Amino acid sequence: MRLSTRDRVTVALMVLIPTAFAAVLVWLPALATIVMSFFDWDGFGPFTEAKFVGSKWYSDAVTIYPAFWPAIQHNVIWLIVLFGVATPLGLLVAVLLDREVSHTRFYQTALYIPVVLSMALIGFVWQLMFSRDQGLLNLLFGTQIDWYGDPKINIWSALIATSWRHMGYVMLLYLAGLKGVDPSLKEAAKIDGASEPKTFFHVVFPVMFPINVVVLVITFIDSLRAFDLVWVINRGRNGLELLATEVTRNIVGEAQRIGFGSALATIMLVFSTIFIIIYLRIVLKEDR
Amino acid sequence: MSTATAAPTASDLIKNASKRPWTKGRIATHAFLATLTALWMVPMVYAVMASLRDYQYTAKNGYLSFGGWTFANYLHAWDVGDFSRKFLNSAIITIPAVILTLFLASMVAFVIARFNWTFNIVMLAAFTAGNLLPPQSLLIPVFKMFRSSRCRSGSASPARCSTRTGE
Repeated sequence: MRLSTRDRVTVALMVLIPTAFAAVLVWLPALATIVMSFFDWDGFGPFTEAKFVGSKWYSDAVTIYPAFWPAIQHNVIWLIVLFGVATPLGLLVAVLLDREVSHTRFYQTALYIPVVLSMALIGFVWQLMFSRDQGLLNLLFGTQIDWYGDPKINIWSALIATSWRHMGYVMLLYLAGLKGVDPSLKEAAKIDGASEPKTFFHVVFPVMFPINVVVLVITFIDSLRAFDLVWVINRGRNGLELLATEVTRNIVGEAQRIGFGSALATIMLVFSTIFIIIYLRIVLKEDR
Repeated sequence: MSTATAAPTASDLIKNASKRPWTKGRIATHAFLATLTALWMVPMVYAVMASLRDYQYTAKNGYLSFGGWTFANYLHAWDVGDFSRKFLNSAIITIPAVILTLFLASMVAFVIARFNWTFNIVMLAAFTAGNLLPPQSLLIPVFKMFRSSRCRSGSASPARCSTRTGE
């Protein structure tokens, strides 16, 4: 395509300005985080005076830091529950809503409401359910369980709250995906004598491949990034440690440990990069 | 009517569907969906109800009672929580963020979609990946960047720039 000089400048600016924003606010900070994770810097003097410490922060994290392995474990539990419970439930509801025609709007809206709330607000709404003295659960069952406070169970309470939102999100994505499936495929399967479950698992579900990938990535990334909910509950302590809360604690907390916080942040970066690469490979292959 | 031979419209389909017989499977589907929806609404409904109760009333009768309805909590929260100020703050962040994001994103999207350059894939990958990075892994540099720009421009008090301020 031939472009005039003026058009060429315009197009260049249209790309360069947003790219500059992304570079300064996303990619340079990401690189800076990686660099800082190898230095001992107090965050106040010039960075050139910071001491290079090699992989000290990483070995500290995996050997000494008490919250590291619990955080990893909680992130993994988070992923397993979202992936194994909330996501399939969202898919099931979407399939049922897609088949039914009466009252679907009502079900759909009611189940989607949690998705528009912020995670911080969800933490508060569930506080009203889980509170030890005034919470609805304890009032109804006459128990005295400290759902948010007991380190043995508070991760499960947080997971109920987060699944409450995640289910609606997955449901909406799959409703859109199911609407996009060509009905003639289902009819063809029916004519060939396939049962409904068989039609779903062998025809409809594979056809929704792009949506499946999106849902998978959202589930993985959301589990890795989980932060707001546990931060409003108790700042991610006492059974609710997560990678994201530990990074934040080391940066804005009482003791600023920039190098150590950066090392934890880099570990998060590595995990997310793995998923991002898988995602991009699938998406870009689809495009071609 | 001339439309009698035309294909059934969407509303016809819905009408026919609601006339569908209540088979066992359909009843089970609705029972499941209704139960799930009811469960899903409990926290929201309870939160809204709690916000409309008088504190003295619930302190005396507990939250499982019925009554003591009032809007006073909202007026009180608005004043004590300084909500006018907080709404303004949220608006100051949200409105430019939405406009700027849409403006910048639509520009790049237009170029990527309109032109068929090889670097399009790289651009698409870079922006998508940037979007999926955990915010915590960018937090420290961004935090430092904004803090130091604030100090350099002189808008912050010198004390805030030199002392170790955590939160």
